[in-house]
Amino acid sequence: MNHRKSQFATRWISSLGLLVLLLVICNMIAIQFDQRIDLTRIGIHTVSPETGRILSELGEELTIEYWVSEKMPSGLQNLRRDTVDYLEEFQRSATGAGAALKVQVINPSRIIEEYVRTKEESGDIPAQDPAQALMGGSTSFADEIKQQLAQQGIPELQGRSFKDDGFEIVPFYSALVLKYLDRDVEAIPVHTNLEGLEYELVSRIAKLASSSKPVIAFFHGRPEDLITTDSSGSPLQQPVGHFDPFVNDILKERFDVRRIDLTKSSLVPEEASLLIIAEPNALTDRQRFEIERSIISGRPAMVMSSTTSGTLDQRLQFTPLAPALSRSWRMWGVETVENVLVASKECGSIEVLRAGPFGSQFRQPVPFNLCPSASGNGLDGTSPLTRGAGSIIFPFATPFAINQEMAAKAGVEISVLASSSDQSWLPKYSPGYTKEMDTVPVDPALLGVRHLCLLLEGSFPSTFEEGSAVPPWDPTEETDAADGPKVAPMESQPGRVLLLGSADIAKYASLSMYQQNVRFLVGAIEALALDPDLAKIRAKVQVSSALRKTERNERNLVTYGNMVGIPLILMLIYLVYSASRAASSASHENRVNSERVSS
Amino acid sequence: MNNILTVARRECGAYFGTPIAWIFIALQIAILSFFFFLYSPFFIIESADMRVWFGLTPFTMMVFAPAVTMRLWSEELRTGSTEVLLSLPVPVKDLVIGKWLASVVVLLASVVCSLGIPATISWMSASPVDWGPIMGGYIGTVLAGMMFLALGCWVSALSQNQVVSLLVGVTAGIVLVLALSPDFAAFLTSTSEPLARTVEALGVQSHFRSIERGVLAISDVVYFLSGSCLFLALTVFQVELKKQ
Amino acid sequence: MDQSHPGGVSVTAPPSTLEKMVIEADGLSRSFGQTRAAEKVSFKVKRGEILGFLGPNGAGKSTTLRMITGLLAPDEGTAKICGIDIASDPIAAKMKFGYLPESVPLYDEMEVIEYLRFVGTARGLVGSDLAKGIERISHRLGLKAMLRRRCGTLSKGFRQRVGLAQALIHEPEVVILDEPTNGLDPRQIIEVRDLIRELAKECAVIFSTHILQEIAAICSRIIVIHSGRLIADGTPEELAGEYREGWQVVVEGSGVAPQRCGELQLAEGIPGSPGETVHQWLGDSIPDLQHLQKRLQESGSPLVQVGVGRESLEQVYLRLTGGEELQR
Repeated sequence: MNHRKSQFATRWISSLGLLVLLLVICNMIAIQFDQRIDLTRIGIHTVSPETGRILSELGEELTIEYWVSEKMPSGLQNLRRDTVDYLEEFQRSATGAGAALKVQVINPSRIIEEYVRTKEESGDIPAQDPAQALMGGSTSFADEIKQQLAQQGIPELQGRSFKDDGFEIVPFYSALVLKYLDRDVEAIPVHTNLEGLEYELVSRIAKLASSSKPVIAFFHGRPEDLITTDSSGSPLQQPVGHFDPFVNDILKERFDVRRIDLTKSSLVPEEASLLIIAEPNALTDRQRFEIERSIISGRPAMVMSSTTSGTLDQRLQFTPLAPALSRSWRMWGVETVENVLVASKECGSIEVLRAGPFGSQFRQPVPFNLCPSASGNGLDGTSPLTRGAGSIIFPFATPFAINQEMAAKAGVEISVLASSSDQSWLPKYSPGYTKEMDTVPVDPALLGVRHLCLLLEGSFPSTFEEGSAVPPWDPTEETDAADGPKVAPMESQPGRVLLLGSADIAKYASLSMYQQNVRFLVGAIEALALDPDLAKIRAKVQVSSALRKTERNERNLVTYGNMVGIPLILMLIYLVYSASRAASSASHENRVNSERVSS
Repeated sequence: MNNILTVARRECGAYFGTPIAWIFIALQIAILSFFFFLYSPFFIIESADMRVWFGLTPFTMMVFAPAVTMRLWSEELRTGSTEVLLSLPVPVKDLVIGKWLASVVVLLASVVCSLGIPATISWMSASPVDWGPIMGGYIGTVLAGMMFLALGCWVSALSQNQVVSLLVGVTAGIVLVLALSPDFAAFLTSTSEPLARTVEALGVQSHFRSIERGVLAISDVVYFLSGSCLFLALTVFQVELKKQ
Repeated sequence: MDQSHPGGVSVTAPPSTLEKMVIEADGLSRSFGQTRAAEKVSFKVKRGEILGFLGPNGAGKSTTLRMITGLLAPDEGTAKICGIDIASDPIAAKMKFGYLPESVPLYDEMEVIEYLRFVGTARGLVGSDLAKGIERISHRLGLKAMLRRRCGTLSKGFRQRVGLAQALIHEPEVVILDEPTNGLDPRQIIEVRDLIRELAKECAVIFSTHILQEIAAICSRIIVIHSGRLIADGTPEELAGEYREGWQVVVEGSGVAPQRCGELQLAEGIPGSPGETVHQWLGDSIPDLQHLQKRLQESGSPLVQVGVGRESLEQVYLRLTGGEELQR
């Protein structure tokens, strides 16, 4: 290597080396003092200040364990990193709020391997119970530890991965476990989505931090109606209430639910943060008075009410219900359209017994007009109450009409959260299924959007005049208006009332068929009952806002417009551009040549 | 600066005065749209965002960036027009940056042409579209594109043959996107944790990912800018080497 | 100057401090691997000179020119243009000259006017200066009608003119042309020669060629390069002063094969009258005619005549670059 080359090489190697060093240092500094800008409108990737407030209530160190497999199925490749990222951000904000938080990422397969090794070393023999093996029980040390983990809320999940020319089932773990002091461990067993993670974590942390659950009062207006037979028609040993599964299995997990009768001895508890009124039927004035009092005191209420209850499990049969609360909400600007049902071709389906070959019978789902669904444009995607619900189905619904004049007078703001499609009609009530319920009316004037879920907000006025006598508990009892207690003046607190136009929406038969309603109901109840801060966090579900209903030709237009149209336009622009260039260059040449000839 | 702009203007003329840039942009839009609308069906996912689009971006970039830049130096070296170019009183770094800038203009043009997608989304969305992540995605596309184009410039200066440049460029892109990926890092974790973290930090995917989901981190911006810087410096070196 | 080289014709230009030296090459050397492409090439050019760079293909002409223009880093030595060292201040030095490379590479997709605008802007012309520059040079080179043509569609002659226009657009003090007449037809060659002559009124011109007639036609000074070394430097007249008188052997046909020339004490042949080849007699004494005639008959090149003659420029060139070198 001669002098020139060595000089060149030294100069460049040293300067490139210096540059690389500089860039590495820059990057390291940037990583060390990283600043993140969350560009999403609601800041889904950023921990909200409300979380900080709730975290600051933690007295001791809280541990969040993220149990996640190294190998994740195809769709969840990003999840691990995104979650770890998010947990780090969560930890930062906890530290900022003065709370001690530890995040651990645990690889379950390591734990399983270790367990199996120690067991094998100690010479234990796994329980070899053939019956258990048949039932999917533990037959090896690995299964044993897997079962133990599952009991702690860390179940093994299964996902699919692309492999060669098909799919491969990939077992994986993705669970979050929260540990605080010696309290019961809180777990998120199936974590597959970053959406709502903040709420999931914070609500569990709030639960861990406080010793009691929020209280909900639950009132059923028709407790005498019970489920007596199972789905096949054979009688149950013990009759079950229609709302028992909803209350006992779904609500009790998160709330302290108190069932009340609205009698003198069973009033709305003071500490209740929400009053749920299911299927109000024949209410006494006193009961209505108590409900109003609860609402006026600022306690939110959720009412599932309609003028018809139906059966979904067996033969179709409709029961008329009294629109018991309509007197109250008429004053607040909401009218109940009585004695009709909402029918729509956009609806949920019910299972119908059909005759199969060789005399067999099978269940087949068929669309059922009387279970209208609210989805897409019929569903308010921005309200914290309905956000995240893809569609809601309202079995045997009664529509609401809004009287804005009354609402304005009462100072109540009404927003429509869910309504049926514009192809809905209102068949008359009848004890059985009628032709009117089955067929779409020919007259287009009979078709239209029907409101099925309303949110009323404001300071509600009472329908019981101040100073008048308080209705007695027993309506048959004759009271002297002069001696009895008088309606005491009460300052109306701002509150919220959620009206659902279906009495059956939370009944077992309906929930088992329309499971999407569970998500909506739980979400709405949480949003109404929770600490307002927690409710705000809950509302922060990423609105990867859905598309509106599109026509086939619209879809084709945008698909081929983007895929073929834009490229073609580009080609066209180029052709025009190059042709104009060629023309102007030719004319230039002609001009110069003719000038030359003339001179 | 004037020199850079002069060179960039000439290269833009070469891109847009010939069908090259138009074809690349048209092809890129067509392919991405195909994947966006048909292969990963937009109308079935029904979500009014562009995560799928931006998720595909590093992979298309990996092929299209070297295809755009392959001619920048290879062509000049083949025809010998570098002789004139290098005899001009313009510093080599200005030539390199100017040419790279022209390819960035092509990238920007392709970004502009892809605005049909956000337009579609805003037309078809049921509720107001969250523009933040879409803006972020575009910022990420331009940043990552700048780095891939700088890489392409360097590779182009390595060979007189455009096809060789393209192939080497695509290979380098694959290394950056696929080999240095979080998946590979996860695979390495059992061998050596620091190695895995380094591999992940060097790759494009781990840096593009958070931008794609709508979080702009300074460290990611610094990564892409330093990548561009490094490859441009290597290009200057490569051109200076021609004088040796 | 190249005094040390015994084989070369050393002609020292009269030292002139009054005239500005526009090019000063000092001991430029360069090798590619084992091949020495240029070895200690030194020369100076002053304003108004037309310097012909003469040498066979592969002699190192292009290498030397590329070192002067800064396209190639020399192993040793320096080159200054108008007193500015190309290595230490390349940008300032590059402002001073225009360079036309051997292959005349243009950007085929650009229109001529775009190309000239690009080169002009890069060389620091802006606004009306640029427009005037393009107007002047396109008028001078007859390119006006071609301005809006794409470079790729131009004929060889016009390409060469665009290449020249590119080198001249900023009115440089030095114009460096590498084989400017290569591949042109005779009429175009004459045009280029006229242009070079005209240019010399304003600036110094260096051009390289392997064709002798060009040098003789227009150069005010000639440098002969062979195997990377400068072996002659002077005006055509000065070189002619070195012409030898001596015996010339004229034979039929294409002459004696080079490998046999030494044995016959003949220099390599150069074409003479049609169908004849002239060899310079290298022997010290008068050639033995009978012996020579016999030997030539054997080698298939019958003797036509032997006489005394003066070397032509071609013969000097060939002697300097060819077989005689080996003899010594």
